[in-house]
Amino acid sequence: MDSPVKPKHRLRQWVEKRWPVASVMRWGTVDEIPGGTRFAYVLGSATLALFAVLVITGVWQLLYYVPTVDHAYDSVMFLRLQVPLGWLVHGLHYWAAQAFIVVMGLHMARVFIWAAYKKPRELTWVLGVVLLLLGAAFIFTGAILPWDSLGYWAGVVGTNMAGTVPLIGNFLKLLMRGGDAMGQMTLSRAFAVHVAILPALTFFFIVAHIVAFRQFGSVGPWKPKKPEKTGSFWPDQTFKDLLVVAVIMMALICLSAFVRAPISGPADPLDNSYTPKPEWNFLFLYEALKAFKGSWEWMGTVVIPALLVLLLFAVPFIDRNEKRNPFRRPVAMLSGCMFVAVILVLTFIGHYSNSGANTPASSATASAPINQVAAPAASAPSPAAPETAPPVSTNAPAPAATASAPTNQVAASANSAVSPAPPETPPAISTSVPAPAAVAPAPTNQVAAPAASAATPTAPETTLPVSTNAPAPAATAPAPANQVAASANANPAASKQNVIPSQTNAVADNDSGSTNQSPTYLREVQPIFAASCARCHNPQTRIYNWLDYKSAFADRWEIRRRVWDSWKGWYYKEAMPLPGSPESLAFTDAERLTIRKWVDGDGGAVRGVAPAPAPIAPEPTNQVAGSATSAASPAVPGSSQPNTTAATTDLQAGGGLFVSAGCVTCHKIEGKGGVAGPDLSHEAKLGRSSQWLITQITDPRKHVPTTIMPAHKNLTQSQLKGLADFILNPSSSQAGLGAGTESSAKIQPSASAAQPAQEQQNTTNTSPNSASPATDAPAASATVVKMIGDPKHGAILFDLDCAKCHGKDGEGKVANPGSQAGVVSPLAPISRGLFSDDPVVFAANIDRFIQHGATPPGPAPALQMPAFGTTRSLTVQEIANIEAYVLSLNGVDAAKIIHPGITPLRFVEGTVALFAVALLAIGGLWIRSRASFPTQTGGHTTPEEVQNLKHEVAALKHKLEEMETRNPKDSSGSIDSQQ
Amino acid sequence: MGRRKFLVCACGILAAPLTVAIGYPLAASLVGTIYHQSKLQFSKTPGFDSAPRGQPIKLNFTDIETDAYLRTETSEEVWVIKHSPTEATVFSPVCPHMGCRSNWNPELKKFICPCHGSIFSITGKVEGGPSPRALDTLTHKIENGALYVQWERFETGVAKKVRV
Repeated sequence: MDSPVKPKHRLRQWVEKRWPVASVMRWGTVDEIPGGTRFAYVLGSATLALFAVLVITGVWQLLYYVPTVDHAYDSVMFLRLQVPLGWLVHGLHYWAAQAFIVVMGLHMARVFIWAAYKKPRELTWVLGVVLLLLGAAFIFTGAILPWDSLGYWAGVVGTNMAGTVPLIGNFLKLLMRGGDAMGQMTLSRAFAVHVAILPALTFFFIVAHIVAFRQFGSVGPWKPKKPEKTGSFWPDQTFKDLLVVAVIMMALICLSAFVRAPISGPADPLDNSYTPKPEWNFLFLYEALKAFKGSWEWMGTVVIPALLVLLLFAVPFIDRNEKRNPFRRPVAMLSGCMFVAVILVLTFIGHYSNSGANTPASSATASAPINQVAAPAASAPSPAAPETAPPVSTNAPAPAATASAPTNQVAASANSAVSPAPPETPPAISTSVPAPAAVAPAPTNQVAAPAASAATPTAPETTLPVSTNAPAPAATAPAPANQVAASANANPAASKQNVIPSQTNAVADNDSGSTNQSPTYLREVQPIFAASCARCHNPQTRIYNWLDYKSAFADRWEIRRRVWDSWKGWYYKEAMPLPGSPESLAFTDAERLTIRKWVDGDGGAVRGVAPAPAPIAPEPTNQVAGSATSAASPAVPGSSQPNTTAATTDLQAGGGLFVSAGCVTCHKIEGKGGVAGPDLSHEAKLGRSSQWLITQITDPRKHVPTTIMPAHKNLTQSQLKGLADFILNPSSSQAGLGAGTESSAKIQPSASAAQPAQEQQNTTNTSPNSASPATDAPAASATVVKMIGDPKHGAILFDLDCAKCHGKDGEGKVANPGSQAGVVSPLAPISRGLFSDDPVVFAANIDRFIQHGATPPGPAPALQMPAFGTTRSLTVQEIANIEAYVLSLNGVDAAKIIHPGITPLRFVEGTVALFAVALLAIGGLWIRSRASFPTQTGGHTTPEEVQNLKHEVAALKHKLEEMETRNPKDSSGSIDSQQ
Repeated sequence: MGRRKFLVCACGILAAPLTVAIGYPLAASLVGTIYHQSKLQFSKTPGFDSAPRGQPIKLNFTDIETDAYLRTETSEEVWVIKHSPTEATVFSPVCPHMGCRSNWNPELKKFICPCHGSIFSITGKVEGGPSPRALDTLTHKIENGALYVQWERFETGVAKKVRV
């Protein structure tokens, strides 16, 4: 290229005649840079070089990657851990992608400052903006491909953003997802777009961009002081480019070696403890979106990004004056700086605003594992149904209420069919009628379940302890069904109010003047939120917090659209709860209807809301009184007042308060209750004192500053005492929620589930050499063990599910009376029989316990290891994350690079040495040949170069002549300009 | 050497380590795991502790096959003769003749292959039929009373026991 065509290069000439290599090369390399070469000009080349790295490493990853939802994550981890230097290929791709965006941004900034977009280079800029958009699309689709938590949720957020486009939003979202939900079609689409469509487009636009650039060449400095001075692209600028590219490559290699690309654990649609957050590249957009809520959302998701893009495209057409000196165009520069500043600030806000939610401590009190949500709902119908059916069948007046199996749905539907509760019917039956009817407006799973059991006259032991609240109404229903009656009448009425954690007196008072068609109030939907929504909509998550009813109220229209309109197909956004989630299985039509009524029913939502977010469920007295009229249960009014306030400090009252004060909405005790808060069945075993519990109830922030538990300050000392006593000793009280036969037996967490795996925890010293001692485990085990979880996320899950028994950070020390060791075995350090250096073996060792549970040796261990896997209370992915965390507690990296090829450190050392040698060689060469340089400035050419150029000119002239003889029209003057 | 030529040389010198730095990982990951042999695993075989002594019993276990990132579980069966709680012989049920499953005949006290009538003694020796070699034994170990078997397949129809 830089040497003249010599006759001896016959092959070259032969090719040259058929394909103009020299001309193309010359076009690519010969470019006069006015004002000389600069390091500032390297950014375009650096971007191109990074793109090349991305293409190469991307293609290489295809050797291992498969775009299927069940194996994508495993295949990526296989490349990263098991393929020699696979970690580097993946790391380079990851880090080059990050650098690509950064360098691209710098390149744009440079062009903007130099005003290189101005006439006649507008099109170069526009094509560059297209490339920027393609880069964004690359980042978005690429993040989805590993199908890890990060990518999955980025995909969810991204496609949902597209879904907010007016009119066509839903179509766009479905198009991007390839269907209704995120799944295989989404992954396939992301894959095809990322590896085929986008690269093709990018190649095209890069060529177009460079052609446009070459058309007018570099723009040069804005001060045309020394117009005579020029530099050449090849090799002057190229050398600078290469230097910078070498530095960037070195940085990428170091990053790949020492800062590994994130491992966020396998994607798990059901894992609510993961906080979805976009990649940093999109954080600013995400943050901007948050300013718009509800029906204005499309402003944030569509209008703002569209405006940003339009603005970028329009820059060369808006800023059309000739001036290029940045100091002479303050408006342009200021707006440019503003633009960058806004994006940076938003990005930083986005980065830090959510940091609290990710800390394990704060989420300790967050929602429980999802499947527990399903459990109460599922268990409610089965035990209660057969018992309830017979008595109800005799009870004609209230068929809607209880005729069929008393699932939540039925209980809820009683709302519409407010039954004329006939108090004159036989006690047992009569009480069974008001129960569902009264409970109907509050159709949470939890409330529904006790209601169902309350309706069972044959099983008084299953009644709720609320009976103590209402001895007065019980008078109407004497005899064995006494308790049943009481609870049926008073409890639902009371609980539906009290369960609302953020309920206020005002609410209760307000609705006493209800009309015939009693409006739906917030307090009736709040239990639904607490039971079915709080897994995601709580203060810990990014998504709107509905446990705080003020924000729930603010979002009510959106809530209605999601739970009702989209479900009916009238609204384009995703239906809530998410299809296939435990909530959606337990979420009933009646609940949807309740929420809808709440939003647009007769201004009910407005009236039901107090001005300030009340911290707590108030004195039960007011509520029961207030609710009486709307409760549709004739027995209640007034009668319950004296009894609720007459809070004797015995366990029964405590048990009653547990329901009436609303604890049961969030906390499970004795197998009944909500799942938003921790299960309180084992507080005594955890060594809690009565005083500790009282503090926890009145001022939970004292124990955990970030807890979402509201402070319940309205309870009297005696009430608190009774509540604490009940929590410490729930089963001994006749009023225990699950009192009766089952209460004493079912103390252990999922004791029954632990049975199949009666392996003693200490007999596990299988040989560390045997690669998989858990081969007798079902398929789930094999799936989990090979999965590489995210220890950080595992820490969050550990705090939620394991720390209660294994202690914070797995240090143990939790007493386990009745077991041989006396304490729960610690996990950090873990018993030597389970430990292994090999992460797979280690994970397999502990996997058995997490999957199938275990009973520690000893006469009667109070605490047993629950079978999280077989009971499906943890998903496969969640178990993988927890295992990764336990491994990390013991100093084993679940994501250890197994076949590094060369170890990362060695590779970096080698590369540094290579570059050092190269730099030394260049330095030596420079010292040797420096003498022959006429000047150091780039403008002047050496005699040699003049000679070379002359050769080139001769060759070109020769070629021109040839062309002229072939086609006279081609003799344009373009070649002359090269001189 | 002129300035231009120097720069061309410098570019070349700089490009060399760049090429190596990128090229080496590419080459290494292309070669990848082609030389890695899959490790044989011992699989726990339940039911050994309750097995009768001196009599072949068929035990089932789950074998995990690993193919890169794919782990597939297959249920396999073996003939186990327990000599003592710490000693046992494990036969692959696959007949060395054509790969049918040989069965223990408790009346004749022989392993008999149903396909072509190969007969093996309780020690696995060929006593009749077309089988070219004795029943294949499998590597195993006994730890804490539990039997771990290393599942393997061997070529059929040849006199030598060769791993497939």
